[in-house]
Formats: sequence, C-alpha cells, structure tokens
Amino acid sequence: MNFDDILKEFEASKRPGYNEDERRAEDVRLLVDAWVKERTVPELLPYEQELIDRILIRIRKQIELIEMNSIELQTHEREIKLRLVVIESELDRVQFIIRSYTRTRLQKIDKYSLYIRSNDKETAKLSNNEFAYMERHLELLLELYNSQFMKNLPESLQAIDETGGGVSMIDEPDLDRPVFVQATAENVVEVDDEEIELTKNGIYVVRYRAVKDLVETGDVRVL
Amino acid sequence: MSLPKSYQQNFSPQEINFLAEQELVTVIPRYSMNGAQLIGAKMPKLRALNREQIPLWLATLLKKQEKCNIVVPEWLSVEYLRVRYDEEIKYPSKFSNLPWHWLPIAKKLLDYASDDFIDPPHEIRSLLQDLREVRLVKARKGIRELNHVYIQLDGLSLMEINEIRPFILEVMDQLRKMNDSLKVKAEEEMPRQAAAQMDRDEDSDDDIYQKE
Amino acid sequence: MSYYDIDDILADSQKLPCKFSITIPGLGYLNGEPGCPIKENVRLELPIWLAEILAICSISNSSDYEENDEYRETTFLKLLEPEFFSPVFLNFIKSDALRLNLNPYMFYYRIVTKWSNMFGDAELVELISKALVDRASELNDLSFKLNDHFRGGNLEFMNNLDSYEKQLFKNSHKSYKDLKIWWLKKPN
Repeated sequence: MNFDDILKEFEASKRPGYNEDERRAEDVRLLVDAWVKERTVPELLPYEQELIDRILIRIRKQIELIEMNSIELQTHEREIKLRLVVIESELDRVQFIIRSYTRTRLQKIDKYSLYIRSNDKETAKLSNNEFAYMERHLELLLELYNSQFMKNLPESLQAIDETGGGVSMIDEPDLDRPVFVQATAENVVEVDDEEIELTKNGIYVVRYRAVKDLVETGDVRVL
Repeated sequence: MSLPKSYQQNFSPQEINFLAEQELVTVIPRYSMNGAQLIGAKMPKLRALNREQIPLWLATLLKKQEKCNIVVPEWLSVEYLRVRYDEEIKYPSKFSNLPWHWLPIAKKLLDYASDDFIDPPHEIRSLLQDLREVRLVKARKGIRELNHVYIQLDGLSLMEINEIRPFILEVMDQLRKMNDSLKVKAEEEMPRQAAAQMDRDEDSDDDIYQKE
Repeated sequence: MSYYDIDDILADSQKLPCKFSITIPGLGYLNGEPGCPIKENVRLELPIWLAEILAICSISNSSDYEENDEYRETTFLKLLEPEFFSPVFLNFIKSDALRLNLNPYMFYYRIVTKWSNMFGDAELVELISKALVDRASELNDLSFKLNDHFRGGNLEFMNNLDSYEKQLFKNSHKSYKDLKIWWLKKPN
C-alpha cells in the first residue's frame, strides 16, 4: 500500500454512511471468497491486490497490539487476557486463509509459468512479488535442467517451449475441467449444444468454461 | 509442492469446518465483557444475559472459557431432525432442506456445548448419523446418472458436496475427455483424420476397423 | 493432456495392431528381423505413438499420381481393430461391464480417447462412457465400505480395474475416510 492508497482510505472514511466495521467484515468475507474461488477453478485468477493490502495492514496492527500487551501481561486482569486470546485466534484464522490463498496461487504459477509468461493477460494477474517469484523459479529450474541433462542434448532438442507437433510443451489450465457451482440468479448456459437452465440456488457440476463469465459477474458462485 | 494434489480443486473436512465457523450463532453471555477490534467483523461488547450474534469460532472459544451459553439453533432438535428424516425417506430423489453447514455446526455444538441442548445430545447425534447415511445413499445413487454434460445436486450441503467431489469431478472429467475426442474428428481438418478415414473407407479387408 | 503427463506417456506405449501398406527397406527390426525389409501386408503390434504417426503420414508419389486417375493418398500402415474394441469384447461390455477385466489394458479409457481422436467413433464412446459410469458407481460403493472390499466378487472386481479406476478408488476412499475421521474426532 502506498501513500495514495492511504489517502484514498482516509478520504473514504470521511464519506457519510461509511462504516469501518462493516468494511472490515466485508473484507474478510471477500478474502474467504477469493480463497475458495482460487482453490476451485482451474485457471489463475487476478491477484486481489487492494484487498490483500488492506488486510495485511490490519494484520500488522493486530500483531503490534498483541506484542505490546504481552510485554505487560503480568499486570493484566483476566478479561484482557481473554481478549488477547480472541484477537490471536482471529489473527490465526485470517493468516491461515492468506497463506492457503498464496500457496494455491504459487502451485498454479509453478505449473503454468511458461503459459503465463507468454501471455500478457495472464501475466497481469500476478502481483509484483508473484512475478518476481515466477521469474526466479523458472531461472533456477532452467539452470537445474541445463546442468543435469539439457547441456548433453543436441541444441535442437533443448527447447522447453515447443508448441508445434503433437502435444504442446507449454502447459495451460484446462478450462473444460468440471467445477461445482451454485447459481445465484437464473441463467442459461450451453454445453455441447445442450442448454442447461440454471435455477436460483441450484447446485450444478458443469465444465468451468461454460460458467466462467457468470463466475466473473457473480451470477454463479463456485463451491 | 506448494499445495498437495488432494487439495487442488478440493478442500479438507477441516477447511470446510473452518468456513462453517464463520457462520453466526446466538450466545447468551454469562458475564459482561468489552468488545475487541478485530481484522474482520468487530467482536461486540457483551453484556451479561443479553443475547448477541457472534461467529461460531468465537462462540465456542468463549464457551470453552465458560463465558457464555450458546443458543442451539432450532433445527438441532429431535423434532426438526425427525421431520427431515421422514422427508428423506418419503422423497427418494430429493434432499430435505438442511442448513448449508449442518454437519460442522452440529458437530461443533455437540462437542463444545452439549449442555446447552434442550433435547438429549445423544439422540441428536444418532439422528444426525441417520440423516447423514440416508443422504449419502441418495448421493451415491445420483452417481449413476453421471454424464459428460452436467448434473444437478440441489439440497446437498457443502460438507457433503466436498465428500463426493473428488469422485464426481474425476468421473465427469474422464467422460468429457472421451466425448470431446469426437469433436477433434468432427472439427479439425487434419491429415491424420483424412488418413484414418481412408482406412475405414476401404471395404476390402474385414479386419480393418469398421463401424458396425 | 499435458506434455509431462506420465500416464499419457505410458498410455502412448500401449500397442495397437497394424498392417503395413507398403514394403519398407530396413524396417525389419520392428518385426524381429533386423536388416530385412518390412513387407507389404505384414501385421504387427506397434506402440500407439509410433502406429499413429505412421498411419497419419502420407506418402505422396508424383509418378503414381500421373499414372493413376484414382490416385489415393497412402500411408505407411493401417491400424487394425484391436481385440479390446472387437465386437465380441464390446458385446461383453454391454452385457456385463462390471465383470470386464480392464487391468491388462492399463489405460483403457485413455486408449479409447486416443482411438476416438483418430476415428471419431460416437457409438464406441457412448458404450464405454456407460460402462465407465456403471463401473465407477460400483467402485464408489466399495470405496465407501472399505472393510468389505477384499472379499469374493469384490476382490475380483478390484483386480479388474484399469489404472485410472484404481486412482479413482483411492481418491474416493480417502475422501470418505477423511470425513469419517473428522466426524468421529473427539474434541480436545
């Protein structure tokens, strides 16, 4: 988060009707949603930069608070102790989701790095840190391949990103993989010339490609 | 690997449980207590004997410290669960209406707040077990309807979905891969298809692959 | 399908029966006769990856073209119907998919997919899809009642699974077991 963001938040906080408590609650809900989505869909989704930034700031403040209080813990009464337990438990929970969210993304980034690199739209889904991670990871991997076996192969066989002739060497997410979804609005989707009527609250298993756009608009949520 | 294979596309029961713990329940505080600023929704100021809605994880934490009682939801009663069970039997192709997180919420409350139940907890537990079994049989019957296009599973809760998810996804994925292989033939004009077609056109040899 | 998919590489090494359309010098080693030509009409089994490419590559010969109005492209070989797609085999699937032993074919469903990529046989795909659903349902029941699964008919069924089905069984069983463990876990 840079200065502009802090300013933005400050401005926003002065707007009438703005409720910091509601916003915090909403942010954690959004984080949980982002985690569930990232875990269930085959492709890498855009990184939730602003949301994560806001939550990381709150996490830092919470950790400072805990540290300050634990120094003077001896003098505390039991109620303050209990409040600290509550604060720590919640901190653990939020950190758990962030970690799992990050790991899920790293797994996809590892798997699809060549594809992500070759495509601007995909690269734009990464955070700066993720991008740096991907580049460094690929570099290490190539170094390993080279030192272990690649250098002994004829030059024409050293490529790792051939796409022609049979199976492409560049692994792409398979958007036709099925996913579990719940419709939040009525819609019709098409799979193999068959029309599927999605009724509100209905739960379906269907290939991701058929509902991808509806997942983006929120008419369908992945489970 | 940054994420084990069994967690790709799927969740562990503990993770579904985690989601259920975000749900709100009603508590009756035994003591008054100051609220706390949290990362997410604020913990409200609690006043003794004044009902308040808080997330399940917080409610069980306070309950463990004997700071509150939990108001067991209406659906966790013998009467309600019996009605649902009868419905499950009466309508063999439909799941009765239970909360989205009925399994983890029920487990959590039975584990940590059994003294807050109005009906005997062991009866509730065995009814839940019966419900779970009858629904599982139904879900497994639904598996016989699997195809490559879609299936509908209205009424299943998230924990139940998660339990059969690896199976359903893998079977449907295999079905659609086989089915999509027909499209390669239909859509693409590649030499290989032309060649393969030729084998079949040749009618002289009976052991050459032919469609019946 | 992915480039580094080991199962796919293994499936590609499963063999298909083929018949050579022309005599090719020096290829005899494929048939255990090194140094000799492989003769027209010789039948042998080749791994899918090789059979496929030889069945696809056309041999164009301009002089043939001039001499013969009804010139048709030839390929090195033609794929013959493998035993596991024969009418007898498919009839058996139709009558009793559960007793079918897919274990020897290792990657049966992948082979069906590869075959169908080449020939686009909708009937075959429909039949095998139905067999898969029947077998998967049975397998799912067994993966739930794990304690019973190593007895009599069940044992036979388990031994008849192809590698995809075995993996499916494992994953399905794990999922049921994980939930059971979670449900029965006592609070600490």
